[in-house]
Amino acid sequence: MQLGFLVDLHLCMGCKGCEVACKVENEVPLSTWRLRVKYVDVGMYPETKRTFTPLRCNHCANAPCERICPVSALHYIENGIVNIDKERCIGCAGCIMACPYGAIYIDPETQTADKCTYCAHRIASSLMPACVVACPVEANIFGDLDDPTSNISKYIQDHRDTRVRKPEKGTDPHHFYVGGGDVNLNPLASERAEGYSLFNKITHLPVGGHH
Amino acid sequence: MHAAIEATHAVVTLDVGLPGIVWGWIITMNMWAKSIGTGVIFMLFYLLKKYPNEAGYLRFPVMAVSLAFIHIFLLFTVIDLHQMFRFWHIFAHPHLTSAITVGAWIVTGLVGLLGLMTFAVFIKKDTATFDKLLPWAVVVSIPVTLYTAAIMAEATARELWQMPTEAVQMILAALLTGSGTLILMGKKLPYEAKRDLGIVLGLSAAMSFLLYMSEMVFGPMKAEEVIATLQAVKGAGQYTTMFWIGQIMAYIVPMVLIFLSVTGKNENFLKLAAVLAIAGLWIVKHVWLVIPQLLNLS
Amino acid sequence: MYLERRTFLKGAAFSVAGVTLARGVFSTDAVAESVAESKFTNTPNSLSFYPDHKEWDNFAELDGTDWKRGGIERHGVRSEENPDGILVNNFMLVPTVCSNCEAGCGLTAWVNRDTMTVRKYMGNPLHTGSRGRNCAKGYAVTSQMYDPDRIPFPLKRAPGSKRGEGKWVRVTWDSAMTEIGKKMHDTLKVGDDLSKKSIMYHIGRQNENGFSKRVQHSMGQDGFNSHTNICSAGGRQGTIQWANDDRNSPDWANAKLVFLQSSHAADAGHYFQQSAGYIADARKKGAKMVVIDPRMSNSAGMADLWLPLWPGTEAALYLYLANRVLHEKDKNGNDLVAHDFVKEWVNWDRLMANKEHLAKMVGYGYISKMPAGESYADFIELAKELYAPYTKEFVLKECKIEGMGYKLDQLWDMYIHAGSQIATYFWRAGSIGHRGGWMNVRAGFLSLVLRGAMRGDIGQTGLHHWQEINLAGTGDAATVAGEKPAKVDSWNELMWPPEFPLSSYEMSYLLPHLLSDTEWQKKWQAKGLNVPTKIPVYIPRMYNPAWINPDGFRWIEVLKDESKIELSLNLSPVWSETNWYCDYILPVGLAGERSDQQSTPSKPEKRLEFRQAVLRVAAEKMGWKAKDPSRATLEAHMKYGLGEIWEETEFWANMMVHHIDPDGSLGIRKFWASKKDPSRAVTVPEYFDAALSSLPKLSETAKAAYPSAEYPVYEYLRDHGAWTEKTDVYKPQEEELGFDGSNYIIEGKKFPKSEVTKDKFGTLWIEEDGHQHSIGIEINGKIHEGFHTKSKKLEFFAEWFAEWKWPEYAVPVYPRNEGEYEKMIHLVTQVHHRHMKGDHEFALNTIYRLPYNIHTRSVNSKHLMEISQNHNPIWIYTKDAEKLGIKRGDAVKVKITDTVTGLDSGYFIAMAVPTEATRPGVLACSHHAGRWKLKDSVDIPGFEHKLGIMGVGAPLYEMTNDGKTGTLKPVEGIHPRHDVWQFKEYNKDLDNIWWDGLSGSWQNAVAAPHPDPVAGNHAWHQKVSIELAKADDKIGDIMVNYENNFKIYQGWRDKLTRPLNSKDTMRRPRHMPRPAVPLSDKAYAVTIKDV
Ligand SMILES: Nc1nc2c(c(=O)[nH]1)N[C@H]1C(S)=C(S)[C@@H](COP(=O)(O)OP(=O)(O)OC[C@H]3O[C@@H](n4cnc5c(=O)[nH]c(N)nc54)[C@H](O)[C@@H]3O)O[C@H]1N2
Ligand SMILES: Nc1nc2c(c(=O)[nH]1)N[C@H]1C(S)=C(S)[C@@H](COP(=O)(O)OP(=O)(O)OC[C@H]3O[C@@H](n4cnc5c(=O)[nH]c(N)nc54)[C@H](O)[C@@H]3O)O[C@H]1N2
Ligand code: SF4
Ligand code: SF4
Ligand code: SF4
Ligand code: SF4
Ligand code: SF4
Ligand SMILES: [Mo]
Repeated sequence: MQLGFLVDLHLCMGCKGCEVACKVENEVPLSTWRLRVKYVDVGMYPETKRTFTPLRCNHCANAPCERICPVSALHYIENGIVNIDKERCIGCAGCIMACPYGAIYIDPETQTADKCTYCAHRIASSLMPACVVACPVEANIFGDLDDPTSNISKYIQDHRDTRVRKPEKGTDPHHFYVGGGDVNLNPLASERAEGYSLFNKITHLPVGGHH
Repeated sequence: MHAAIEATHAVVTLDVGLPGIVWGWIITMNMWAKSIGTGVIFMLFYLLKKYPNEAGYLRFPVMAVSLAFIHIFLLFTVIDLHQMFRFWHIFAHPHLTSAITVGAWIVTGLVGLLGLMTFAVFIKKDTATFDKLLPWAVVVSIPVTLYTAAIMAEATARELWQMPTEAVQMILAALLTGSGTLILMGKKLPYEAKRDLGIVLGLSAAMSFLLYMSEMVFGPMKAEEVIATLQAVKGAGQYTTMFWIGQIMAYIVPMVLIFLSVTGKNENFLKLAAVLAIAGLWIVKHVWLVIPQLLNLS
Repeated sequence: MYLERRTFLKGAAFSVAGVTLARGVFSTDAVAESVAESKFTNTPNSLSFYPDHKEWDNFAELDGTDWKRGGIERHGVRSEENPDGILVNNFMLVPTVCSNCEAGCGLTAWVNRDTMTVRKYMGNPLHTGSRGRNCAKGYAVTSQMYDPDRIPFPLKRAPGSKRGEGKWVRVTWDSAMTEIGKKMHDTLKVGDDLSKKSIMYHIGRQNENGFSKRVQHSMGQDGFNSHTNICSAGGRQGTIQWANDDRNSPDWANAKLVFLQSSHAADAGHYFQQSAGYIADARKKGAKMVVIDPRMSNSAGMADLWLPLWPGTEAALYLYLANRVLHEKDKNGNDLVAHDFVKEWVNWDRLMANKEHLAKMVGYGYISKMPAGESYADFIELAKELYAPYTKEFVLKECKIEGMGYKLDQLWDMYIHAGSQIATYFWRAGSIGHRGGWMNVRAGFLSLVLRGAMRGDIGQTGLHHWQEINLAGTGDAATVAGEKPAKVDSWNELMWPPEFPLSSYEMSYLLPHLLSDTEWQKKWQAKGLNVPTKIPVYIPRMYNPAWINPDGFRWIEVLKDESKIELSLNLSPVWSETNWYCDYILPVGLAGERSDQQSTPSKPEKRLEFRQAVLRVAAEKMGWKAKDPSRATLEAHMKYGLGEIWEETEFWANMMVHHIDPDGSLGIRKFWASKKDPSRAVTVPEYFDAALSSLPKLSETAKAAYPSAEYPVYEYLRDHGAWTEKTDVYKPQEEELGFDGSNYIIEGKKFPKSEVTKDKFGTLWIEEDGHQHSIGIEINGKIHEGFHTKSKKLEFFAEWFAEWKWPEYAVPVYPRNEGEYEKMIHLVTQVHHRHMKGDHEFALNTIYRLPYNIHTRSVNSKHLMEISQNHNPIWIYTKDAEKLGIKRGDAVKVKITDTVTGLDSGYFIAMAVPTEATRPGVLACSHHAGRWKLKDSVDIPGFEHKLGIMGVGAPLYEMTNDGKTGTLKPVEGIHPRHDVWQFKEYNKDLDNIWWDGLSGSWQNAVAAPHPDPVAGNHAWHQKVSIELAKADDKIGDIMVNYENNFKIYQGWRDKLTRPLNSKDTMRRPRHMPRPAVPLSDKAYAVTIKDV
């Protein structure tokens, strides 16, 4: 079994239902996110468009975070999920430095690393991840990549524009996007100013919170 | 920056707060102290080979300095952990693909070795055993110096840090600070020995400078992340001033001073070069540590 | 990839082996065993979205937080033998309904059976509209429930203090009810006409279908006020005119063209995430999506076509479409007009027969001469001439989209290609933003009618009454009375002033103005109307009028004035700007803490959802019993640590029975006393079982499923949370009218054929209560149910509209030239581009939503606040900003000026963000930020903790107001919290609050009210001029000249309306029902003296 995720960006409408569902399900503390939805406005008036991109851990087959973790707090479990163990973690932040996708944060409550686990506890309870359940438009497709008849496998087979983030990093993500382009998948292909944006305050926060 | 931005006018209009600098000045301290801690061993080895008698008196002081700085390094390593009281997990649950783990084990070995050597020279006054152990200390110090480069290389999110260059940088940093420290400690050394140290310092500075400049020029050809990272030290970048202060203090001025001192036999220039290099290295390391972390990953 | 993975797993296995060694062989076995013995496994055979309904009462799920210790591979599953295992939660899933927007999506509360706390809210898969899905606000219900600043018990303004001073004391529900009940009793006891206008229940976004109305109805009050005229009344007016239906209802999922002048696809919109889901379904099948919006909403940003028309000019575009449909032919040379539909189902025949009106149309210059005859072909000729002036060139200029002709071509292609499968929802946007906004709905529907897209067939646009189930007000059978209260005999001029007889809904936002306008009161009193001058009891519920209406300072003045509002109580679970100025704050429950029936027609089906107090339900299902069954919710909330939180249903029933009419002398008690036990109030199960049993299919299913239950329908809904009575509700107007050989049957009621008359247009009429009612329509020999209009057809020609003083607008029109702007000023937006002079003058779009905020309901959710900082910047087009030297983050002063009176309203200071996402000349500023409070917390005498006020979302402000000018200045932002005492564990992360909330401003306070002379709604957009702020202007500052705002209200009223006069005998067209409480003929009748 190799669990994988796919987001169809043609469908995602940026409602952040997944984002808040994740916060609630996993009690992700304020100032940190396992999942976030990024908006990028593209083009010039009157041909402007807006893209929405949910970003979470990719559960890489060749995960730099797992490799760098000195104590195997990050570890693979048998369904392919890159899992994390807060009791083992020493908070060295190596994984944060290693993950090319910015998927890991230091939980300010526990002062240990944390990230999306594909809701491994729900998987083990035979339930879909919380963010998959939430999505009003079924943009989130989740399932077993080892099973060619699973929804996700079929989705990948049916779509030509399946991509992963930063393939050049050799991380081999188990998280796919359909309908993504450079502007939303490549962080360097859009302008990002710190401070106030059209919808929020984009700012850098202290790692590990204000404790 | 990215050529397409002009064409697409792509702007991020909503995102959440992002983590700030993850590895900050504490890690700079760590790298800096480690350079000194290992550098002095390299240089002691050289001096004992070349000037066995004149340099003999340095055995214990160098051990003391090395142990002190290795412990500063370890202290800063541990205090940077968000869960510092769990540092022992590295030994209880080692994960051997991690340079952090491997490094920790090797440093432990080095500390043991240095301990033995100190014991030998200070308590037992047994320089023979000391000298037998010294080559091993040198051998172990090499990976100790290098493993931070390996950690940085394993931090694959930061395209600027590549093992080959970072490894060389680490060694050069050790040689730079090692020679500098011994210049400061080696009042009683003959002029030749001091000059040798000066030349090591000067060459390390030159090589390091060359590497940084090569990165500045050729790095951007490798990956767009490097272009983006180096924005921070180019033009009116956030860290341009600090970067150049570091380069000038750690490398350019010491090179000049070494040149002047070697040609003019001026020991004061040597000392000044040593102080500047040691202090400047901290700045250089800090800038290089921080700038790749400014890169937005998502 | 497969092999590769194996190697990594091997690596993982090694490190696991490391643990094994460290922990010893035995414990490892226990770990493995604990997993093997449980139902949990890392490699499940299947993954479900929700547990099977059979398991809802007791469902075990691993704990997400405890899993962070590394999961079951490292620790196993917790059990007695393996106490270190990962925690397993035993949940009871109790269905309820989200209350954050009006979509009414299903929720399930995951109640931890051991701790009796709600761990999370997820969706309800049995709700066929929301399909188990939710938006961010749905998931935020958890953080709202455990908001650290929840009001824990009823509060009363401290005796001796003034309203707004912020001094509060703790009272019990019983003492509050006694005092309030006495005042209500004494008021009602008077029994005269004025006393029937003395209790005002003012309800905002209420999310329930009829219970609150019954509260007012049973007291014989004309005092049910709403918020609708600032919400969606423009959209509703247009629909009322076409179909006498409150709103339309699209079949999004099967449309070929999703045609949006709203934000349903991605931002908000009515029935937000459900609509978005169905729109996504349509797009997966290839549907196109067009969005008309001056601002690039999320919907526009992902649409196939974004048309950034100048706001308020949409009607021009729609009439242009009509023009082309009428004149052009398709590839095969066929007409584009759906003649079959238009001919049969549009009331052209009445227009063609009304020579008098046709003559007027000639007079207006709409047509050049009287039509040759009365035939359908003559009508089409008339329409062709009527709409010929609305050309492409006209649209490009009027809608100010010069150079975008190609976009109009794209629109045309999509529109024609979709055939009749066009779905739309005219709701707010252009229809509430502008004077005459209702006309853009009228014109918009015309373009759909002509294509046959309003038949309500698959993929088309239908009507809302076809689907909605309004039963929450019908629990009469559970009460002693056993029947409905009588119609109400009074007419409350404070809600329905004589200037606005056609207003879609109550003139709610003018309430403080009407209360302060003694001149106006006296004028109408002199003309013979019994206009109230005060409100003895004012009860807002789910409503924050002071903040969300225009001209907030006027609200504050009136709320503070004890001579205008004698007693006020806010039924609100949270702090708000409004309850700061009330006498009582009664903390009622949120989405999972009260009982309501709601119905949201989000697709062509008849469905209802049932909201519940989940802790009470869980406790009861586990065997707990309330001491007083009519107060079960309050008892449960107190027992299970939520606080003294009650709910409206139980509250009102108890109020009526024990406090308002304890001895039954007012005739109210019987409507609320339980039939089962008349000594007490009706209970939730009794009432809702009675109310909802009238649905035949539900009743049957429930009885079969719960054969021995006392309240089977209640129990069914308690366990399922939603019920779909009928699916595939398509074109019910074409159903044949029930006929049993001698009687026509409508909704079970029989009408003898002999008493039914048919007019020359085929409409069937009967007389009832002295009025002619139409009951059906004969078309081609068959009798159909028809639409809800008098003619039973869609009304291109709103005949009654002509009779009610607006003949020139009885058919869809829009000014065609400069001269007509003045003549038809009622249809021209107050922010028309002809009003904009110079680079610094703009139209301000004040109406749009962000998908993860809801009006003033998000401020109690840490999760929603965290993602919504800077939610009302000023969006300004990049090049406009450049011209004015405005850069990102600059503070700008936005001054509002009225274009009818020329008066200034004041200004607000906001942050500018230049963007390519709003059109030139039009700024945008949402109302989803800018909340304020005047104190950080209040001390309650005798209570150990301070009560925090909106501590995660509202900064501290300083206010001045002297009756003429008001100012607000930010003092201090939001802080990380270390003072949490309520729900401490849940809120332990509040020390990480990283936002200060200081980027918003309360723009509504500055906005002057703009009453639309026809629809009565507030026209939201404002004309503004902007400049860079001065050094001492802070973002968030506002200054309002509300004396001027008062004159602006008067100006609009006096210059633009056509009030009732001595020739009128009725308050409003009789066929236009007043929403909510049913009124008698007596109430509708009016005599106005000429003075
Ligand atoms: N997330 C969220 N969802 C909600 C709500 C909420 O607060 N938050 N509120 C609910 C309520 S009460 C309502 S009434 C509905 C309303 O939902 P909608 O009917 O969708 O109304 P708005 O969101 O007000 O406006 C829709 C769009 O109209 C645009 N617009 C503004 N002025 C004009 C104009 O003059 N012409 C045109 N063509 N477009 C214009 C705005 O920029 C906005 O993008 O949403 C409901 N759903
Ligand atoms: N500028 C601008 N202003 C607008 C709009 C706009 O687009 N632009 N939109 C308008 C529209 S469409 C609407 S509908 C109105 C909405 O305005 P309102 O009808 O006032 O609705 P809310 O602000 O959502 O909620 C009002 C209050 O209800 C209380 N409340 C919250 N949850 C509950 C609950 O579960 N039970 C009870 N009893 N009370 C609760 C809180 O005190 C909250 O402050 O705002 C309008 N204001
Ligand atoms: S995305 Fe980052 S955190 Fe996730 S597995 Fe890959 S490297 Fe690790
Ligand atoms: S922070 Fe924790 S999880 Fe991350 S690498 Fe360090 S020990 Fe491993
Ligand atoms: S899979 Fe679970 S943990 Fe991961 S983003 Fe989705 S909800 Fe969060
Ligand atoms: S819930 Fe779905 S539509 Fe909403 S932001 Fe997440 S992925 Fe996009
Ligand atoms: S759409 Fe509205 S009702 Fe549905 S989950 Fe979101 S806020 Fe709640
Ligand atoms: Mo609304």
